[in-house]
Amino acid sequence: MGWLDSIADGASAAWNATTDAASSAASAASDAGSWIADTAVDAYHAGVDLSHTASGYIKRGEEAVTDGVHWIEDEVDHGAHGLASRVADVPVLGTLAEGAADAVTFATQFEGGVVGGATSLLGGVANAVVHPIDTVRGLETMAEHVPGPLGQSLRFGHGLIDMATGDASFGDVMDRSFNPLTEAKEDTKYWGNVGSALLSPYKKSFQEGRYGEIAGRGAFDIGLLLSGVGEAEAAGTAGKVGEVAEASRIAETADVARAIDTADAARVAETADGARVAETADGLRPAESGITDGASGHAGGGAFVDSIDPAAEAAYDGIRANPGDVAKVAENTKLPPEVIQRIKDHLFNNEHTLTTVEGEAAAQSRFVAIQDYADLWKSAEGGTLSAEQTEQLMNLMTHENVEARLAESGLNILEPVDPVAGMRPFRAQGAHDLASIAERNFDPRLFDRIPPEVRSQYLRTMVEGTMDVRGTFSPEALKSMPPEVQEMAAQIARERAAMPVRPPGGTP
Amino acid sequence: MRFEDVVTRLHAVRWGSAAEWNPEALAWLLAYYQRLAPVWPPDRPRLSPTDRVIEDAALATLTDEDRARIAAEAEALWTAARERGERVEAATRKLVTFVLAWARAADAGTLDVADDPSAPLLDLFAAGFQVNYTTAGIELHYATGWNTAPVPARASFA
Repeated sequence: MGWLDSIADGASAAWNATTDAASSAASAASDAGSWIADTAVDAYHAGVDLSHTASGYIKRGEEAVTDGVHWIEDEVDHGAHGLASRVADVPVLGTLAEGAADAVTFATQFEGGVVGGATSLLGGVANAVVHPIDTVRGLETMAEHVPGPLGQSLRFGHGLIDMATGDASFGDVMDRSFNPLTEAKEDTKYWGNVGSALLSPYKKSFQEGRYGEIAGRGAFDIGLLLSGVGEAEAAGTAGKVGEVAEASRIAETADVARAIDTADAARVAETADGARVAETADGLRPAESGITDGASGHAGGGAFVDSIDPAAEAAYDGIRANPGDVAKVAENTKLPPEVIQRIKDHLFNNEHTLTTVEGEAAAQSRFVAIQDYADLWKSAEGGTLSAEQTEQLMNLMTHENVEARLAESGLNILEPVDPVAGMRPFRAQGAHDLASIAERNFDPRLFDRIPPEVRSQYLRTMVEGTMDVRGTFSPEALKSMPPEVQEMAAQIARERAAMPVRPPGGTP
Repeated sequence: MRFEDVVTRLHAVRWGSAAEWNPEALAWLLAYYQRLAPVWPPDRPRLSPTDRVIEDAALATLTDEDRARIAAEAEALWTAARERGERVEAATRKLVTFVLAWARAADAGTLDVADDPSAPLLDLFAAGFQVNYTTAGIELHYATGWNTAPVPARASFA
């Protein structure tokens, strides 16, 4: 494994050099830090009312500062490489000198990027503050495509996660992280696709070969955005309710995102049973992607919507072909036939638009078939449910009915897969997550995770859908629910009690 | 005896009580799948965590007496959980049955402890996580939420 050790040592040294450069830049910028933050925060507030005229002045100011920064960077670059060129023909020393010159240039450009970030954020910071995590995640992806040690280190870290989630083999990770041809190909493709206004300064830096500047600009932007979240929350008291709710939601999401990011993956390696984790990682050499399209015949989406169990699929086919089961299930469960029909359509019959990986196309597909669900349905039809099955069926019916009603009202069913973590994070805002919370009697620990704007829009549907299946909540069940759920349940119960009794058959 | 130890460990579990997400939970799930290799049919690219082929393999060597004992222990676990106000997911209940079956098999000498798929599951449960298998994927539940993993591919462990 000597060659691996060499690569690891090289990567480690490169990473240390990069972080040293970052520390240097951070130190240089620290005195100006407060000013920069204040200025950016002011810019956030001012940006809302910014006139085109003011934008023009700011743009011109940005360009002037950027031009100055580039002049300094170029001088350093020429100077460093000029010195290196004097020993270019000396074996070993020439290579080392060129590498050192690259590092000097990189560090200077990094600092230049910090200044450049401060100037160009004036116009775009408002949007970035409202969508900080998307931006931070985007910046991480971008940083992976910075040619040189920074990009290599980040790609390697990302690759380790892909390995852990079964989405890449060890060979793939090494190739993508350290093969210069693969690196160049992927970097060129990435930067060719960059089109947003927010990222255009980075693209320009890439095109001009100022790779360190990309890293520095990114470091500044991330730091500023993190402080910007708090400012956005404070601004909520001044009336920016919608924006703050979104920022707050994203900040909350960040907890999940952070928990499954590279740093925590590294912590797993430190804290978990070494042999077991090593054993697990060793077993993860997928020839087949875990989150890309499979060969199941389902449209796109891969593992999250793929067929898993042929026997379960066959059982679902049988349920779909059975027109008489709705009446029997309704009779045996004492639930209204229209509710049973809705559940059957949602769970077994209908295709849904199912999100797959964030940023990739959704799949149009039925739900994956689950044998336990088919078994519960058949037992309900046959009237042979055990006590445990009855409890499970009521949970399933509640979930599917709430989810169907939320989907009918336009809510996405599933959260997209976080491409870095390789998992669907819990955000408590898709129909599936909300239905799961309803199914769990609105457990306050889960209910509190629902973003306020989602709660205000969909709480009634959640409670109504639950009561369709479970009827009026018992006082004991109500006691454990959050007050606003209790109030909503009481209101719905009053409304339903006031409605004329519907005759059998569902005709009003 | 392994069975008694496992029962003791399971009684100490507080189901889904982990205060926050821990990526180690995913590592335990993957370690469980890795140990399923001997029973994973080549013609099944993916297996649900409680697939019937796993169940059949786990229960294959059990006597009627074993099955009755396992059912009784499981019922005692769920009764205790209910009394504590804990909800135990359906997939977790099934996995616990497998865990008890593998412990019985280990005691009977028909399963090498080193190949026992239950070891990572016991760690997962003891850390306050539980498994739920839904249309979204394999959910790893903790006290305030869950994250959902894709159903692992057999090729990942070849």
